[in-house]
Amino acid sequence: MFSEPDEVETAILEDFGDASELKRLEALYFRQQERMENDPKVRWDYAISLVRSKYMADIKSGRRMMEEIMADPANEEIQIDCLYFLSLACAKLKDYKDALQYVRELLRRKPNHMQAVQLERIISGRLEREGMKGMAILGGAAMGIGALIGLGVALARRK
Amino acid sequence: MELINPTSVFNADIFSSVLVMSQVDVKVVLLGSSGCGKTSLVERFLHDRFEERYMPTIGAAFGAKRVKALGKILKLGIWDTAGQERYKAMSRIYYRGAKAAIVCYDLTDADSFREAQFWAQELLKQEDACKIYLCGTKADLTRGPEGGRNRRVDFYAPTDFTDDVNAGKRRKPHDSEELFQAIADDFISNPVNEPIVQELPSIHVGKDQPRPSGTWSSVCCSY
Repeated sequence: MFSEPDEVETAILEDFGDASELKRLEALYFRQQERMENDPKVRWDYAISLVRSKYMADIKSGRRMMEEIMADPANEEIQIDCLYFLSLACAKLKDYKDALQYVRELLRRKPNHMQAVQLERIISGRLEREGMKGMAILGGAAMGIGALIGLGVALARRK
Repeated sequence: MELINPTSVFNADIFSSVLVMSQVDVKVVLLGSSGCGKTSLVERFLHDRFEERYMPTIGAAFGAKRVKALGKILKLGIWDTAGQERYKAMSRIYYRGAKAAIVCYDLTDADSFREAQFWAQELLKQEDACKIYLCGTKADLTRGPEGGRNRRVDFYAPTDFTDDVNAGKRRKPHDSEELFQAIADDFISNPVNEPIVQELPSIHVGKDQPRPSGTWSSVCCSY
């Protein structure tokens, strides 16, 4: 059997929504705001399309909206969905720590949720890679410092 | 085709087939009403597992698997959309660019068949290149002495609006493996896809038997 984590990862994190669809939903949402109306469906569709955008600014707004939706007691039944989109938004923003927290909260409520398990694996993988990169930089710096000290010691001995 | 980075040109011969392989994606999308079994169908195909508890899909789930068809290897990228009403607008986006759509309905639920008709009509209008596979699910519940009473979708209902000339003659897929295999076979043997198929890596020289196919295919699967 083929295991193909990388293409799944790309598909999930780069599953960008349609830009014209986002514009349409945005216009709908703000027209509604002007009229002081609040159709939860409009807000929901807009929040999702923001999270699915290609642009960081949109995803950030989407994250904020999702947090509001989740905090709203009227949305008790879509908490799981909110947690998933929040985790996805954070992962796309490279905020892997928060992403992990959201997806683990989802898994605490719904163990074995297959999409959440998949997302958790993706985020953990990214976090690990990020960590290794950090280590490499730190390691490089340590080697540099070590070399300088070594040089200093060598120079001191020559005296 | 993937452009090979000049620094890795020396690898080109070894890896070109691998590159081609990872390039050819056939997008498959699943559509249908909530709880009719789209995810179960995909899970069986991808991982050969079945989850007893019902967990509605959020937005859309993705999975990929390579399949061999008529001596070629191609990769199915499967988008399993959420059936719930609050994702209906979103699911419309997912079928864009799909080469095959599995439109599912629950054989024990007449409403789900109406929704399948909606999706099928939508696809016919919007996606010319997408072949539609109608898939009746939960067939096990309609079998046996008691089963007949559970059936809510007439056996002839789907065939009434199919124009696949082979629908009646050719053997219909009866499980998810056969269904996805049929999708792969149809993709390879469709003359429209010839330029793509020529680039696909071959695994052996098989007997290619292209067969005429309509835009509709009626299949019924059980699992």
